[in-house]
Amino acid sequence: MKYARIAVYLMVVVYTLLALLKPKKIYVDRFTHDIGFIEWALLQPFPTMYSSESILKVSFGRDRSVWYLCHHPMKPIINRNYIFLDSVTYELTVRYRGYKTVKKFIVFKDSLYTSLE
Amino acid sequence: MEHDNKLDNTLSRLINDPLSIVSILFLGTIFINITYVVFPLFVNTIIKNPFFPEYFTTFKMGFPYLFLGVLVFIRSKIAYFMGVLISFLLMIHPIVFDNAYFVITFYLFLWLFVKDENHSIFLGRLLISFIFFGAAVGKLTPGWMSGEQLNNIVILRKIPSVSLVIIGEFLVAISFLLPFYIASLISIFILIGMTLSMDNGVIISATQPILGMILTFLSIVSMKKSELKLYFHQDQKHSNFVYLFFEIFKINNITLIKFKNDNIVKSAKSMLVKKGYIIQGQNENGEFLYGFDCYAEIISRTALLAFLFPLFKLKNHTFISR
Repeated sequence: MKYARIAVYLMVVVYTLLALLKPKKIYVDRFTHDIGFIEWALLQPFPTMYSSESILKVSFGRDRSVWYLCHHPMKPIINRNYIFLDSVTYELTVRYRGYKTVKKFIVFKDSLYTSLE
Repeated sequence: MEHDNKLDNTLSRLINDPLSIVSILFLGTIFINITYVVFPLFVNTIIKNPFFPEYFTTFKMGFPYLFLGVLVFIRSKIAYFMGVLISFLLMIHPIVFDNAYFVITFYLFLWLFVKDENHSIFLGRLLISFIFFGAAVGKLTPGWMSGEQLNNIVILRKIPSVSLVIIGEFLVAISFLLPFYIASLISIFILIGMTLSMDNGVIISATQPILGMILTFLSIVSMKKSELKLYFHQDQKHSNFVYLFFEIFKINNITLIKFKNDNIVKSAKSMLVKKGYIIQGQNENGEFLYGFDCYAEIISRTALLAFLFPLFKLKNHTFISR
């Protein structure tokens, strides 16, 4: 168990260095899913606790759209309570200091499609 | 009768183990999370998403999540490891991966899994600080600093200043470097403040396990291991009732002694009888303790309540309470 404790200390150091040296990966790419699944899964234990800035534009059809800030970018997309139409478009902007990513999501008949802009 | 003994033993184990604090508080979060986590895990169907591997669509995590509430009470490394594993799977599950609560669950089980006989308090404090470090660094952006991002979180009550949030998180982030009691006090104060700042207490599920960890550390550090003798007057109705209570819970390092006026040790007799207290204590130095001092000594030996003992030692508090 001594080695397990050392591994936990190392884990804390590595994650801390990542947050300071590669913040885009942790505070932006992780929220927009712009990294591979395995890498994303390994970054999930880093505690961001609803950090970063994110703006979400939800479009219902051609003319109607709603903008709002959300504390977790993926929340409205994964939560079915928000999806009450057959087809909904989300435009997600995640910012962290100088980094910014805009991403489009389309939910169509229980499937999510994504495209980078 | 056998059943009663088993129940007594379970109660006794629960009350004599400082880890029970964090276990009970963690179990509480599962009940709090019924709407936010448990219900979606059982009811929501997963939106097909190319980002997640296909097997996740049949990956039901409702029951494993509820099982965490059992695992946290089992004092075994295998149980804690299972807790780490289930928490990790929930962190990457398509329905609940956005929920920061599982990050805390993950670190709670990780600490339980790697801790040694002395409970590795420093490592536990470091993990709590680490959780808040990630949160604080992530909020150092213009949108957060100006309050724009914070003001749009619908579940948040009005906060006097956004700096309070960031400074609070930073204080907890550096708390592992501060003296133990000061760091604990600051962290508890900030965690309670955070909980109260949210509407409907939604963040309580995240703050409660951390609070549980801090109270557990406080209990471990504050607990006394020396023997305390408690005297109960056999002819007093209330005294007999309290004796029964102590007999059920069997608190470690407390010896229960029933006495009658005629069979008590001569030197102690005058003090015990004259005062007429329900319980009288005698510490390891042979000093007799009454009222507040006696209750303080009992609390210092009760794992579930020992975190309160530092408060009992404050000079002003002692003076007023006596």
